[in-house]
Amino acid sequence: MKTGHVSMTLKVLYAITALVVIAGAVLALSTPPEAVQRTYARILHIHVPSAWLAFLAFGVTAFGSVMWRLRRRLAWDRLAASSAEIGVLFTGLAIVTGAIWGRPVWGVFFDWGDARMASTAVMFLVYLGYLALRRYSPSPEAAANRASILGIVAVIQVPLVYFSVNLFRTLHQTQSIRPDGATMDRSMVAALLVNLAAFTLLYVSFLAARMIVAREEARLVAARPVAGAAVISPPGLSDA
Amino acid sequence: MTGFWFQARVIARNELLVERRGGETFSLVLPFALAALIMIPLAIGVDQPTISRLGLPAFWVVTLLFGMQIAWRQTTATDHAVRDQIRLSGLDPAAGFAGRAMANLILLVGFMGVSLVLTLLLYTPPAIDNWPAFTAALVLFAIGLSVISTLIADLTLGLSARAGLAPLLVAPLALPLLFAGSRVAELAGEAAISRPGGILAWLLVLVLVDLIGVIAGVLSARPLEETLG
Amino acid sequence: MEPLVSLRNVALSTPSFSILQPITLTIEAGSAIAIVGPNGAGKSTLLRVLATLAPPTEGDGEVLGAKLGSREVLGVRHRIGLAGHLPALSAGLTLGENLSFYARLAGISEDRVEPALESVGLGGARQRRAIDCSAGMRKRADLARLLVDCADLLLLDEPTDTLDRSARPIVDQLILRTLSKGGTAVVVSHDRENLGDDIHRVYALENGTLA
Repeated sequence: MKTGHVSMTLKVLYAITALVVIAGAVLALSTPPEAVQRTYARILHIHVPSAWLAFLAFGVTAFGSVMWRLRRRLAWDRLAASSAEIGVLFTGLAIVTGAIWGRPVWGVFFDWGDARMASTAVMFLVYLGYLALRRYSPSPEAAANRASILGIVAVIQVPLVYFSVNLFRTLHQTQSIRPDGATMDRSMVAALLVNLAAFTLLYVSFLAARMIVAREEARLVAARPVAGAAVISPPGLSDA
Repeated sequence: MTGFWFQARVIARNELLVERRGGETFSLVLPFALAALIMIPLAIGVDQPTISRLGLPAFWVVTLLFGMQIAWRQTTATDHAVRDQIRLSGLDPAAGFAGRAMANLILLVGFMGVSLVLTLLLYTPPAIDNWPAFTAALVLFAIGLSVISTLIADLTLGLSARAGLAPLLVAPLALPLLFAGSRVAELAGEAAISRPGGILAWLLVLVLVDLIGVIAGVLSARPLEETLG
Repeated sequence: MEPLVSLRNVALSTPSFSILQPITLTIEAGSAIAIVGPNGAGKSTLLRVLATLAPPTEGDGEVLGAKLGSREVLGVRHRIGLAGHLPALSAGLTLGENLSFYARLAGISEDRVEPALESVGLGGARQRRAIDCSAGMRKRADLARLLVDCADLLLLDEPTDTLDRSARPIVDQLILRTLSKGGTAVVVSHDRENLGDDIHRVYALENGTLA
């Protein structure tokens, strides 16, 4: 693939993503207001998919980390790293939208008694640390080696965050879509599902773009000067 | 070649000897932690009931934030040439991790002992009724923090930004220890002795975090050594 | 007999630099070789490759029968004796404590530490902390460490740097002892003139290329 050239497949992906995102936005804005929370509840269509995407992204990071450990191909590490960046972005979005939603509904931006909010904040910090670890590692191989370990250990948090609302009785509501059915109105469920699909496509689009950039970054370091070429015999001292 | 636990003990003994000479934990880290314990009530003011109530929570937070620094004090692993020789000695990397974690644990227990005594003096927190549970929480907290901080110390070894990066990594990973430890302390107080089941659940959380830390540390020891070449 | 060291097109690069160009090298057991070159030639890096501490990024090879870059090297590392450019001493520990630590780790009796320090002229400095010793004393102590055990593959990086003239025979003693037990010695240096009489062959390393 030439540098700067985007394949037809990716163009189609981006186009479909844009369409689904627009459809999701339209549906989110056109569903009837929620009975108690009124229009504040519409932020659900960003908040819930953001959280879902964060879980998916960190799961993919763990998967990429495991595959790097098994296969030692840096492409797997680039997958892990790219996915973690996107996961941090969506976790931040989930926290911010949760805070915006929480203020009018619960009276506080951030309730420390809420297990899901607290555990999500912790997860955010852990993956910020993951990105920092990668940034300060001296080489791609060293970054891959260290970060893959953290990427595998840190994914334990994902199920902990997801099930925290079930383990601890707190302000945060439990899952709205469960195996035994949904607790929301059908139109809201439909809008939510479309937005979940939209965010998933956004994730895939971001991931594809980020991995292309990462691959080009790796190519740039392929042409390396010889280390010793910078050293020469010192010129003779002139008679002063 | 020597056995796993023999090697771990040799490493632990050497780390403690280096610490005895350098004295970083008890002459630098501990005084800084004590300064923090003093600053908190000064910032609160003369509200004694609030200060008392904040005593044990302050102890846990200070122990976590400052106790973790024990793991990245000057050790034999800090010197590149010494690290090379340790690798060449045939040391099992997992035994190296175990030895360093054991040394860190011993130092952390000493650190926590002094910090706790000072917390009791400075804050006069509510009485603890269930001392066995509280002591168990202290020990499990110490084990968890020492293995997590040792793992992160190994993960960040040789990085220029280690001083800032390591705490950033340890703090969120160790938060379950803080949460569970402070819940045990709360339940172990006089008013809560009727809820033993609750204490047990939080102690189990501590045990679980400790186990995850030990497993992660042991399994990652050999792969991490590969980055040192 | 299998060579003790066999490198085939071994190269080593970092993301920023190529340090070693493809190198092919065979070293037989019972031989002492020297690798000389200017600053920045890659001598210390080549020594780390031979010590199995730095896996090559290209090529393959074996050291003491273990494939470079594989887990096999863990089984042979204890047979390698390395005196790197900087002495492997913990600054806060005494010279005796430093050597005792390595002896204990290797499962060797600590009784060997004192004679080793005496043979390098540091018998009276056993209780002195490494940080309180001069660079030359630390170098001697590092060489004494190699006398506590006997390696099959002895690797010395600029061994006579910081040593005074009276201490230079220590290096010859180490090399001869290794050769007498069927081992191999590799010395890297920027100083071709002061290699000693026990070297069988000299290679030149420049800009990562071996000649």
